[in-house]
Amino acid sequence: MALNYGEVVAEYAADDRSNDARVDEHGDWLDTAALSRLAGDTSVALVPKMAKLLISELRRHASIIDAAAKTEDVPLLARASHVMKSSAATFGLGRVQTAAERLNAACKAEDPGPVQVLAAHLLTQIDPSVRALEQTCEIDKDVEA
Amino acid sequence: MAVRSESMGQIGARDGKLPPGLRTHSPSILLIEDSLAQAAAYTAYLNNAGYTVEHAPDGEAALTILDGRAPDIVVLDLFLPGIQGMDILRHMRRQGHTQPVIVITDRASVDLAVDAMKEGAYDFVTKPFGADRIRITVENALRHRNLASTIKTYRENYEREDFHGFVGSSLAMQAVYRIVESAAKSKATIFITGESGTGKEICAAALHQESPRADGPFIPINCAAIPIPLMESELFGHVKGAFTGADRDRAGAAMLAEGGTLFFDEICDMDLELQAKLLRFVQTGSFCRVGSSEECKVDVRFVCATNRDPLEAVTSGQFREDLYYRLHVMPIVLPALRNHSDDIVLIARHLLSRVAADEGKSFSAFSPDSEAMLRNYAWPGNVRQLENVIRSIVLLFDGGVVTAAMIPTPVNQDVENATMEVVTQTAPSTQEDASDLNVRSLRVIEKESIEKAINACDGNVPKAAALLGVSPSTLYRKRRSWVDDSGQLDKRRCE
Repeated sequence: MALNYGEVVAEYAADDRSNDARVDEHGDWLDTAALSRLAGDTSVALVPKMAKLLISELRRHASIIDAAAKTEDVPLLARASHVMKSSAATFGLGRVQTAAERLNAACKAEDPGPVQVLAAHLLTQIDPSVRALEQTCEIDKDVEA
Repeated sequence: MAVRSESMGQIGARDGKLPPGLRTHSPSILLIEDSLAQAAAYTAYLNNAGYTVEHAPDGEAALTILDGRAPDIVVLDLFLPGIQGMDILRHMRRQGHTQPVIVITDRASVDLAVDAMKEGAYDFVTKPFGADRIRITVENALRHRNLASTIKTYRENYEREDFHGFVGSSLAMQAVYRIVESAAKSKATIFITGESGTGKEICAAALHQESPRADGPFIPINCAAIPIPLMESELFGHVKGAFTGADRDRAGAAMLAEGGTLFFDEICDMDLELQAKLLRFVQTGSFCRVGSSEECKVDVRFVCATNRDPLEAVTSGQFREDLYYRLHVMPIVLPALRNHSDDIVLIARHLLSRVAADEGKSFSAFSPDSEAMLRNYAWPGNVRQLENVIRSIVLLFDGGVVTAAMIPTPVNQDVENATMEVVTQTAPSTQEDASDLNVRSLRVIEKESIEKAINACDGNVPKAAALLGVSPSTLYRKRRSWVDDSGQLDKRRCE
């Protein structure tokens, strides 16, 4: 069962800020404590809107990474992974953040190494993370469409 | 750009801006961030703290906004598509944008943030960050900006090194600048007092330049330098045939000053009869040209100056009391140079630069010991004396640096002697001739020196004044005082 977004906010209201990254039934796809902090720092109403923006952004950059990996366009991979790791961190998408950080670091290294492997791994992290975010934020796909 | 349009399509917005609810409205912040999701979060953080946020998704949009108006603060992501954050920072500094820039970076790029701070960024925050972190950083940046603005205003108003021809950064001169600025706005008559060489005419010109009449004429008239019979004509003009030699109509200073400022220098030396006419002119703005009964009316602002104590002149009957109170509306007292000695070196450097350029010499600086001499001397003749000393050095010597050996007597005397000299020169002797002590009074020596100089210049008073390092009006006044002493003035008044 997906964690209800309202529960996340309730958790924030209980001033649970001091806890570090929490692992719930979404596994470590989504750090709901990070999302709670974001709700507290912005507003309950805004989080779903921002999550939609993030999901759109992740999908967009996933396409870029997919194409760039095929052509081994390292600068483009570096750019897309940089945006992805920062956004993912803000919204608590820990796995995406970690995978994007690894790809970004490899792209910046003198010998980029297996960027295609790292890119492929990153892409596998996106869909489960997005699903966790959609469920948590109760994003209605009909409305989204 | 594709990222932007795709994201916007999902939430229904098509104008490339953040969706409703994420846009905002108090101190203004330009947020330059290509990730719309993160921009939305940061905007909400800052909106909740009471700031108005404008979002630029890329460098091009940011430069357009920056070149159009100035936000209070810029929050800048260093990694942008197209124009990079560092390039925006450099562009801002080149264009003179002084607002604080807070750089956004990630943990892996802190070195870049440090480089950005070397380029003038105020601070940086590392992603991911919460609302408190950016809010506190923005608050600090705003305090920094306000403090910088306060310091700039203070410097502009209280640390000016020059002002409309004046040179000096001392508190005494800052006070003068402030009074001139305040007084200039009104039409009230200004009465400037100060020793010879303190810049009374510069002050009058500054008042004119700062006034709403700055586009009009500034007409100075020296009441001591113009012979009394010519003074009325100089001031009010004359008509053809008014007196021998008046072969045509001539406008006087009053007419020429229409719409501007009329400056009476050495006002206490004006003839008493003319003072009565001046009083009427000041009261009504009307006058008659010499030889005419037709009234002329002009709109002028009166500024007058004297190096004497005007009340003393009133007491001694040399200046009409009613005219004094009519003119003495807003007094400005110019400090003697010895009373703002912090400015001596600054003024000397300025004069050296100007005089060297005038004379085609290469002097550009003073040695430390020569500066000490200038600073320690009391300058009874004030800035005019300082200028004459510098001009004589520039004319007599060559080189790039003025050394102590070039400084003439009495400026090269020690502090104690210099001070003594001022005391003796400024305190009038009550004895004309202390012959019992085989000492002649300074007044006698002064008279002899002046007469000798005038004779040496074949009667040319301005040339003699230059030789003596004083203004011509000082010599005219001195000569008149000798006439007063011999009773001839009283005789002339009776006539």
